[in-house]
Amino acid sequence: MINPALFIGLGSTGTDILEYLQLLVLEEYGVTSLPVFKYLGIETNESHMPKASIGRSDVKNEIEMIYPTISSTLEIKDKLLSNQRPYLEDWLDEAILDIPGNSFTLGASNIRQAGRLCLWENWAKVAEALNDAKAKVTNNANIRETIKILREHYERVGKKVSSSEDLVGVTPNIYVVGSLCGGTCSGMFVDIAYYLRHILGLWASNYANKLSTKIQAIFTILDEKLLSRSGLPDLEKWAANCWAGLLELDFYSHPWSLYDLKLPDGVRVRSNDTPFDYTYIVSCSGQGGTYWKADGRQPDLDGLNHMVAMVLFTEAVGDLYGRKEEIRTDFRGFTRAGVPNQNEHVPCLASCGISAIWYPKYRITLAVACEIAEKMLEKWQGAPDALDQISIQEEARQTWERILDENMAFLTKRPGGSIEGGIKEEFDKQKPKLLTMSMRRILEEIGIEGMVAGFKEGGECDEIVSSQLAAFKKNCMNALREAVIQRINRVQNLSDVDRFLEILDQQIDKTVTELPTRYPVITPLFLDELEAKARVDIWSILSLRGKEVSKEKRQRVFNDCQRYLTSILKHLRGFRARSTLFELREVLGVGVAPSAEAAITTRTLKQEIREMLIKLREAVDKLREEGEEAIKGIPRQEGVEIIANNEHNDVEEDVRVLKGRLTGADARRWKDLLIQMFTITEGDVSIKETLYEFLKHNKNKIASRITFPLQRWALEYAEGFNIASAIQRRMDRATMVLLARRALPYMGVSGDTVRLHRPPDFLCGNDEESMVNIKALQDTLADTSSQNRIAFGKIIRTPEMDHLLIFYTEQGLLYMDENITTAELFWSKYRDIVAKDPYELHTRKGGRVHFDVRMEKRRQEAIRLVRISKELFSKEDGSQSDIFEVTKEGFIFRYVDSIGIHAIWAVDRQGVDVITSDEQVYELFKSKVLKAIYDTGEAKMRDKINALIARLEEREGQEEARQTALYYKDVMVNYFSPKGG
Amino acid sequence: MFLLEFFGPQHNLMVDILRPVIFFILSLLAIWLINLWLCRNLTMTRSDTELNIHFSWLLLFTGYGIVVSGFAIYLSTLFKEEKIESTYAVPYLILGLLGLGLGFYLNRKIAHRLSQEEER
Repeated sequence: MINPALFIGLGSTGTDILEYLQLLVLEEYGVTSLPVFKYLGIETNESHMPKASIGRSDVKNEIEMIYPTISSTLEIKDKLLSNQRPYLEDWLDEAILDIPGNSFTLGASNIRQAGRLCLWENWAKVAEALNDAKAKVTNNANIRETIKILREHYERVGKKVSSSEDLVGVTPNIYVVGSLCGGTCSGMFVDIAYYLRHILGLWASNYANKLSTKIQAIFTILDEKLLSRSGLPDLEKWAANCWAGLLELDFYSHPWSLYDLKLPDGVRVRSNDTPFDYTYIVSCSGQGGTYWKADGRQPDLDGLNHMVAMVLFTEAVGDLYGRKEEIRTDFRGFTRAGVPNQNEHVPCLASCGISAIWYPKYRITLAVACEIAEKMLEKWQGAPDALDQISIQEEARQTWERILDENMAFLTKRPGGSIEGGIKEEFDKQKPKLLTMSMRRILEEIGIEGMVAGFKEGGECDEIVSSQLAAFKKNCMNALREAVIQRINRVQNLSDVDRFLEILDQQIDKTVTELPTRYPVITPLFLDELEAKARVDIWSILSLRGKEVSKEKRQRVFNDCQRYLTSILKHLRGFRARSTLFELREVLGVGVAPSAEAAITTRTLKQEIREMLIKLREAVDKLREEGEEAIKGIPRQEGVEIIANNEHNDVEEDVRVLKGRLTGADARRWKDLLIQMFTITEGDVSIKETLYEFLKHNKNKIASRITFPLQRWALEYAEGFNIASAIQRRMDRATMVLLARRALPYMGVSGDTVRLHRPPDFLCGNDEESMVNIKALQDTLADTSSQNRIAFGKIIRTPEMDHLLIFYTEQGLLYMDENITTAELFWSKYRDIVAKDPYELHTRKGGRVHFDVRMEKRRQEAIRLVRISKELFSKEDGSQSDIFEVTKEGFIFRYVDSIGIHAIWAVDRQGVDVITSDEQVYELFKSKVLKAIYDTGEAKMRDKINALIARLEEREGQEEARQTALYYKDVMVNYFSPKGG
Repeated sequence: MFLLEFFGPQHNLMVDILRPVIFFILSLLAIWLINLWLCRNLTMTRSDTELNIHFSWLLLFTGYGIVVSGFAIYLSTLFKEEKIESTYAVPYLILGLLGLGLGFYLNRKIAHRLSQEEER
């Protein structure tokens, strides 16, 4: 099950991680994002533009980038002076406003305060983006859309999903990633974390939500190798930033600490919840492997970022969220969780590692599908040189003749029949009278003179023909289009159809040339003349065949008249049809280009064919590119081993074998496949498309409609490859252990760490139900007879991720000072920077003191001691005190500070910070008050308290007295109970 | 000698005038009779009876014209040898030329028809 997720990348590292994550999602689903995912990049460096595309040129990078930058710090300075930025006064170290250049547009200059300032100065923009992101991942419509996409994906890859299966969860999770080394992420992560809690209502008190949505962070920090290196100018600053960031994270994770801030938009956030539910820190050096380049001189930050992306992927996308959450829950439930150590640090950190063996089955099957699809498209394109010209010519000629015959007759159609039909009918009616009636009479009855008159230009017949021209043109166009479409569908060769079109055009041109260019000259028929023509001459009479000849002659005259009329009609029709037929050539668009107006509204058949050919050519190129990229572009990352389904471990061999199996499949299977390709299913309705309709889609759709079923088919053959079994046969144990050990946490851990009863590491992949192969692998890796071994506590069967075998380990409940091996190195760099850097290292001016729980505790204790001193050991009117010295200006406390300076603390005018900031002074004051308390004794203290309560009840009322009583009850328990004493 | 006896001058105006007339009538009769037979059997075109008739008339008149003209020339040569005035052969020559003239007329008529047919 996939849960909605908001991925926030802070700084350059954060956005790089999100790009790797998209690449992994693309590998799995063919898309970089799902509607329930949101990638948000927050970057202070305007020049750091994320890649426009991910993996392939046509795949868009889905990260929404926010650039909270500051173009002029002087402007902020002015605003501070004019009290327009009251919310910055609490924490901003104004020194950063005088930074050379006076702007933060190309990053936060490794200054954490700058990162935070950028965030606060652009709060509205960031807050809006976070709110929009929240809306996106919690939107039900997006959940439904994601389910639809996933169903399509599973359909494509042939995974059977029952309709009841919950594909997408409803609880969104939030992942914040970045590097603590710079200023951007390290400076803004706390504010962003609490703001996210605020907008999602994720407070501990809100149990319903607390149990669901989790905010997790994965931060990269420096490893020992980098920390030990000298000569890199920014290294010390990075180390100090990492440590300061961890100190602040640790501080806010402490139960005593309180995040209490009024954000720039006026929202006040006050909470003692931890900023993140779970925080992972990873570095380039792990317990079982490193992300350092081969030369060992440069850290492989891309590799580390990719690993972080894999952690996110397996959790948010790969259905391992539940498994990992089990681990985290176990850690949270441990007695040590949340308990501060002697230095008041809490075990709020965790580290993890992941490595995998990847059988790139989607890439292999895609390559196969692309290669086969390419051949299919090339066949549809056809080769102009290999055409059967004679047959095309003959078929084009016949087609045109048929269309012309069918449609020319249409021109002389009139209600109730046709003009030529009318002529024939009239003549047929008179035919029997040919021998019995005079020729003149017959022709008169036919009304031949009227008929001839009707043929005149603008006459009845001409009008009929002219009025039918538009319909004639339309019919011819349709018939031509239909003939072309039929040919496309029948011969499935566009080059053939292109040639067919050319010949059709030639035929039309020939017809147009043969048609009369002028309106027919109508010669009137004179009845006398016709009658004379029917007369028998002397020669026939002398031959005694007058009757026979007469009959023949009358018949001839009769037929001639009919023929004459028909020929005029044909002439007229041809003349009128000429221009229309010429226009028809424009529809073909071969020899005659359409007019400028027509070109805008309609596309010629030639254009359509050409577009289809271009589309096919582009689709072929795309498929070729995609197919090559699928294999050649297999990302090779440290920690991910590629495996193929052959003894040579050659992915290209897999492609060849699979292609052979597909092309050699039986005809029935191919027929089914073609039906799938040409069938569109919408809901319950399936529509089978013709090739012409199919080629109307855009090139991407064409390519995908062919490759999807092919890939699904190929996936059927690729099923059943068992990675766990294959690697045991092909890989030696040492290599397997080496790879598995790369999954150990990427953080040096020492000291007393928690080992859960159920180890926080697992090995997962697809296997038979009995998990026999994975179990065998687990045993092999954990072989006690070998020193080089690794034991995975749990094995998990993940049939849905059958192309990945994942090794994952995690170590939680880490104290930053006790368990991180590099803590001392960090401390030292941190102290150096604090001492010499001109800018405040922490996100609050005053520095570490604000992020030291001991100081907070001391402060709260001091406040209590001052209250006790004033209320129990001083007179109310200020005339006498056992602790303080009484002056005209109120109580004062004289002390010698740790440097030996004699100083005065004006108790009423100065806050407790005066004494708490110096441990020696604090201890001096504390010992004096405690001495007074214990010298007074429990019984007398009780009397003093009771007297105070009585006074307060009398003067302030019962409520005030009750509150005071409760307060002092705590005090008495604290100082006089066996534990407190 | 038979020809001289039969077609030579009889010095009888009646005989000399009537002989070519009878010759003419008899040959016309013969032509007509042959034509009656010929136009039923000669099928230059299947459908056009008139053309067949004209053609048979053409054949007969042309043949007649050639034969009779030849005969008239031969007769005049014979007359010349016998020192007979060749004027006696002129009527036959006229008959022959008449036949050829009619043949020529019919030929034109047929040609006209055929050209019409062709046009059609």
